[in-house]
Amino acid sequence: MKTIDMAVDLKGLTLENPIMAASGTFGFGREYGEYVDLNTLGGIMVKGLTLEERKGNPVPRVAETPMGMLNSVGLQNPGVEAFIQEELPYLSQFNTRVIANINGNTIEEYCRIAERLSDTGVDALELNISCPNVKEGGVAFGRDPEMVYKVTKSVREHTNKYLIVKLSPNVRDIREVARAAEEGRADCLSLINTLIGMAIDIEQQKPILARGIGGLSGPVVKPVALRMVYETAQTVSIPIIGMGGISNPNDAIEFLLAGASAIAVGTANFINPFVTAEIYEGIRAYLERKGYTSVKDIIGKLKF
Amino acid sequence: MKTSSLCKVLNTERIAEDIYKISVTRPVEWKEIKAGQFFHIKCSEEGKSYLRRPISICEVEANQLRFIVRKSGKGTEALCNRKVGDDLDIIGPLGNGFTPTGEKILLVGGGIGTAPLVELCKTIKAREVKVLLGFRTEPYLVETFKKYCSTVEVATEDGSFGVKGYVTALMEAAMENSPEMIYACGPEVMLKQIQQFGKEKGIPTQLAMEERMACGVGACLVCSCKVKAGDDWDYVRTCKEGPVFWGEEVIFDENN
Ligand SMILES: Cc1cc2nc3c(=O)[nH]c(=O)nc-3n(C[C@H](O)[C@H](O)[C@H](O)COP(=O)(O)OP(=O)(O)OC[C@H]3O[C@@H](n4cnc5c(N)ncnc54)[C@H](O)[C@@H]3O)c2cc1C
Ligand SMILES: Cc1cc2nc3c(=O)[nH]c(=O)nc-3n(C[C@H](O)[C@H](O)[C@H](O)COP(=O)(O)O)c2cc1C
Ligand code: FES
Repeated sequence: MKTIDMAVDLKGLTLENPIMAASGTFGFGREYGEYVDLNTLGGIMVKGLTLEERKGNPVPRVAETPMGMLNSVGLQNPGVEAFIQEELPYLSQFNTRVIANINGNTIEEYCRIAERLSDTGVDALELNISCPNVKEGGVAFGRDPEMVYKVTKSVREHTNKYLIVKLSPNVRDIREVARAAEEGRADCLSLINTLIGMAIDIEQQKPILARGIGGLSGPVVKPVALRMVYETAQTVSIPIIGMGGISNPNDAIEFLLAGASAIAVGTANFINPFVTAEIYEGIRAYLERKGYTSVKDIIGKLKF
Repeated sequence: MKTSSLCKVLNTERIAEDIYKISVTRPVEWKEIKAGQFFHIKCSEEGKSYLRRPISICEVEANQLRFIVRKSGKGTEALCNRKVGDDLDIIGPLGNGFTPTGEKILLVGGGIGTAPLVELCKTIKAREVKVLLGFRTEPYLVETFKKYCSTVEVATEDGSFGVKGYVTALMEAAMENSPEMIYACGPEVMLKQIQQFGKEKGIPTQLAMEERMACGVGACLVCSCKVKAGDDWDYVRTCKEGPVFWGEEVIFDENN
């Protein structure tokens, strides 16, 4: 077996390999840690954190759709303090990057969480300005380029941590918001969060989700996500973490070719808890078969 | 490290309308499997359903496992249609399972909720056990319960078998020989009544709850069950802290 360099450089954050776990689909690593060796992941994006504990939305919180699912968890989490005390020490044992996904209702809240995490062992912050499942904040921030710029810039001023901004696909033009985050001095962009969707039970004539609407994820969103990653890569010069429906090595390679420097796997973990390990092996095999020596050689190398 | 396993379908048998008994091979790595635990099954390899489906263990044998599945939608339909010799992709066993305590025990099952009680009944067969089963019309698993327990009573809503009415109507009579513990699985309305009943009689209950799931392993937080937490309440994961909960801790939603 030839040695293939799987490491990627996100300009300020290096990953041992480009495969990450997407926020909200991997908890704080404990559960899937029983199925995959967490040391083999490039990074783990933890469940979205808020300043205070949040109980989340009423059930049902999930509805299946053709090749995907809708969720309306509503950012259930123990709060940033409990994360630091109870979850971070566990995650820090592993040779992987720990990325804190942070959420706020106001710019000030984002800044306070960022500040609180600044002198902890997390490797990066992922600013979630795109959660569709909460009443205030969330996606409202992510829609308006002006707001994206403001929240990014403000958080930037409150932390020295590597700063990722997670973009919502529920926007007029992904390039506008991508540019705004770059101008606000984000180090990196991650996309996509879920698309807003709905499902109805025709017998009861009611929405399936208790909150009516939720976030769509899984293979069904992949073409949209890939297009958005491609467009964003054409627009900004900061690195991109691509996600949305990635379920196998081929999907991951598509995102890398389209310009993502790393990828994250979300919903696919639910179907196959070993999928991240399989994607790693699959990318390696592809590189070897094509005669590459480094995964960096295919990033953004779409022939088009 | 846990593994997912491919279990060969050994047999599928229709045991009542839309109810199937599915036997599969038991992988050696699944050493301990407790009654009340469930498995997360990939029902279709052709994309007829996307997420896995949670199915309780009905019976554990040395080298095979049995599930009882009700065709209730596209996933369970695909599962019931799987052929002998097919490989089923299964993760598990998941969840907590029942905690068998007491010498005099009452089991109450409604519909497909009777399935997980079979393995429980088998585990505690040396004790003094009474089983109450309720069905809409056609009963199933009655003979299986009789293998492990001498007192099995049945109620059907249309009176086609056993006593006419709901299974909960049999509970008052079962109090003559007051049980120390009640275990129940079935529709939410039934569990709610049993919770109330246990509270009134001062008998502890354990209820096997259902909630829609995605990951099944505790990572996604979609399967929340509302439980008491001191003076407050909390959401816990049905797939991890459950699916079996103590009756006194569960908070049922008012509008159901
Ligand atoms: C812990 C647990 C144990 C279970 N054990 C059994 C069993 O032993 N035998 C059996 O027949 N059924 C069991 N069920 C119910 C079974 O999981 C559902 O009937 C099944 O998921 C329905 O899928 P479907 O595609 O056929 O129906 P659809 O209605 O097409 O399903 C659509 C979506 O809703 C979810 N869903 C629908 N009904 C339920 C339900 N009652 N509970 C959870 N999710 C639901 C499905 O998983 C799917 O994501 C159990 C459920 C849970 C939570
Ligand atoms: C159950 C669930 C919970 C999620 N929670 C979060 C969250 O807390 N923060 C966040 O930024 N994204 C969250 N997401 C979005 C995912 O991180 C990801 O962006 C999206 O699901 C698309 O990727 P996928 O198709 O691979 O799942 C969640 C997704 C799911 C399915
Ligand atoms: S189904 Fe994911 S946490 Fe229970």
